[in-house]
Amino acid sequence: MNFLRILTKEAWFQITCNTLPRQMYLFSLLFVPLIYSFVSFIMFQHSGQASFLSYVVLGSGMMGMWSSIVFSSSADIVRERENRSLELLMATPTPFWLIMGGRLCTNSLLGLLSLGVALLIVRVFLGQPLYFQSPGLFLLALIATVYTFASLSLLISTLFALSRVARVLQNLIEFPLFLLCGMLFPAEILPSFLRPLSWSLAPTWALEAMREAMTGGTGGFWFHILLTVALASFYLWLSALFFAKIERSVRISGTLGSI
Amino acid sequence: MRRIFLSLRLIWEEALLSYKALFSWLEPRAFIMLQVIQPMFEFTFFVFIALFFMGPERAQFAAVGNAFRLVSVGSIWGLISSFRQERYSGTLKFVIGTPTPKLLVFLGRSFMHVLDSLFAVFMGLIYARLFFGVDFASANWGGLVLSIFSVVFSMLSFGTIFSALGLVIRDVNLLMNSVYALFIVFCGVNFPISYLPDFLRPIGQALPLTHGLTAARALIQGAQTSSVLAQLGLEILIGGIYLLLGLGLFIWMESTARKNASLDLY
Repeated sequence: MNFLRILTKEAWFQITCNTLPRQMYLFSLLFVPLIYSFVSFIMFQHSGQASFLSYVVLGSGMMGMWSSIVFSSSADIVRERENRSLELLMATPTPFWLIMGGRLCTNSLLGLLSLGVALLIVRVFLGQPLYFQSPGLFLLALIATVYTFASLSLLISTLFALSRVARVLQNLIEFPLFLLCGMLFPAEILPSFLRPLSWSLAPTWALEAMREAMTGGTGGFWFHILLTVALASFYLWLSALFFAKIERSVRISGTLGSI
Repeated sequence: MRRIFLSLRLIWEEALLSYKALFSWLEPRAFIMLQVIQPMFEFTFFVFIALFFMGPERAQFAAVGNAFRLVSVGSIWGLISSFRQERYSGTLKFVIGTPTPKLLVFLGRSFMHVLDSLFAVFMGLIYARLFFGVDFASANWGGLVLSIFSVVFSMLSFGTIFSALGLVIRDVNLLMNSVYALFIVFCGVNFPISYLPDFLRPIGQALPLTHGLTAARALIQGAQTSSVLAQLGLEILIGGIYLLLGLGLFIWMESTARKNASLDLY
C-alpha cells in the first residue's frame, strides 16, 4: 500500500512540477513527433511503398516518446543536483529507485501523447488512412512499450545519477537509440556489426510487435512481445543492482551532489 | 595601433576562454561526446531514413546535406550557449557591465565557432565518403571550400540573432531545438526542397544553408564554380542580412536589458 502511495505521489509531482509545466519537455513530447512525422512522410511519399506508413506513424511517435523520457530523466537528476536535494532524496527512508521509478513510469505514460500526436498528424493533417489490423494486440504491444521505456530509462538514470555531465549524456543517448532500434526504418538495414546492439535493445522488439499488430505482419508478434518483456525485465533487475551499488558507493565517498 | 592590438587580444582571450568553458575542458569527454560522437549518430540516423525510404542515391544526397547541417551545432548551439551559461551562473551582468565593447566580446566568442563549424563540415564529409560512399573523385575542391565558407558564414550570422535573443529569453534550449528543426525540414538537407509543398518552399529559400548546400552538391559532382556563383552569392547575401539583423538586435537587446534591468531575470 505504501509502495502505491509513493508511486502515486511521485507521479503527481512529476506531472505538476517536472514535466508538463516545462516548455522544453512539451517540445520533446509534442514537437519532436511533429517534425519527424512530417520529414518522414515527405520521404514516404517518394518511396512508392504504401506499407511504409507504419514506420512514419510509429517511428515518429516513439521518437517523441523517447526524446521526452530522456530529457525529463536527465533534467530531473540535474535539477535535483543543482538544487542540492539529490543527497536528501537518497537519504530518505524511501528507496531511491522507487522515487525514480515513480517518476520514470509517469514519463513513459506521458510519452504516449507523442504517439497520439503522430497519429493525429498523419491521419488529420496529412490525410492518410490508418488501419490497425489487430487493435487488441496493438494495445498489448503499447503496454509492453511503456514497460520497456520505463525500465530502460530507469537503467539509464543510474548513469545520470553518477555523472556530472548528465545533460551531455542526454544528448548522446537520444540518437543512438533512434538509430539502433530502427525507429524510422527496419533495424535489418543496419550494418551487420551493429545488429547485435540493436537486438539487445528492448524497444527494437517493441516496435516490431507494434508494427506487426498494425499491419497484420508475418506472425512474429508473440515472439517479439516475449523478447520485449524479457529484455525489459532484465533492465529492471540491472537497475536494482546498480542503484544498490551506487547508493552504497556514494554514501561512502560522499560525492553524490558534486557538480 | 595600441588600441587595435588591445582589441585583437581581447577577441583572442575571449574566444579561447569562452570555448574552453563551453565544452567543459575539465571534462574533455564532454567535448568528444558532443562534437564527434553525437553528430555521427545523428548524421547516420538521417542517412538511414533516406536510404530506407528513397534508396541509395538519396542516401548520398542526405549524407552531403547532413554533413553541412552539422555546422548548426557550432553556429547555433555554440553561440547561444556562450551567453546562456553566463546567465545561468549569474555572471552575465558582469560581462555586460565591463567597459569592453560588447561587440568585441561577441566577436571573440564567435571566433572559435568558425573553426568549430569548419571542423564539423569536414568531419561530416569524411563520414559521407567513408561510410556512405559519396564520390568526391570529380569534385571541384576550390568551389567546394568556397561553398563551405559561405555556409559557415551564413549559419553563424543566423546564430547571432539567436545569441542576441538568448540575452532576454529564458528557455534558450527551446529556441535552439526549434532552429535545428527548421534546418532538418526546410533546407533540402534530407530531401530536395522541391519535395516540400509549394507554400513551404519560400521558408527554405530564405534560410541559410539552402543555397550553399545546393551549390556544394553541384560542386561535388564537378560543376564549375562559375555555374554556382548565383547560389553562393545568395547564400552570402542571406548571411549578410542575418548578420546585420543579429548585430542590430544584439545592441538593442543589450540596451533594453540594461534599461529594464532584466538581464538576469529567469
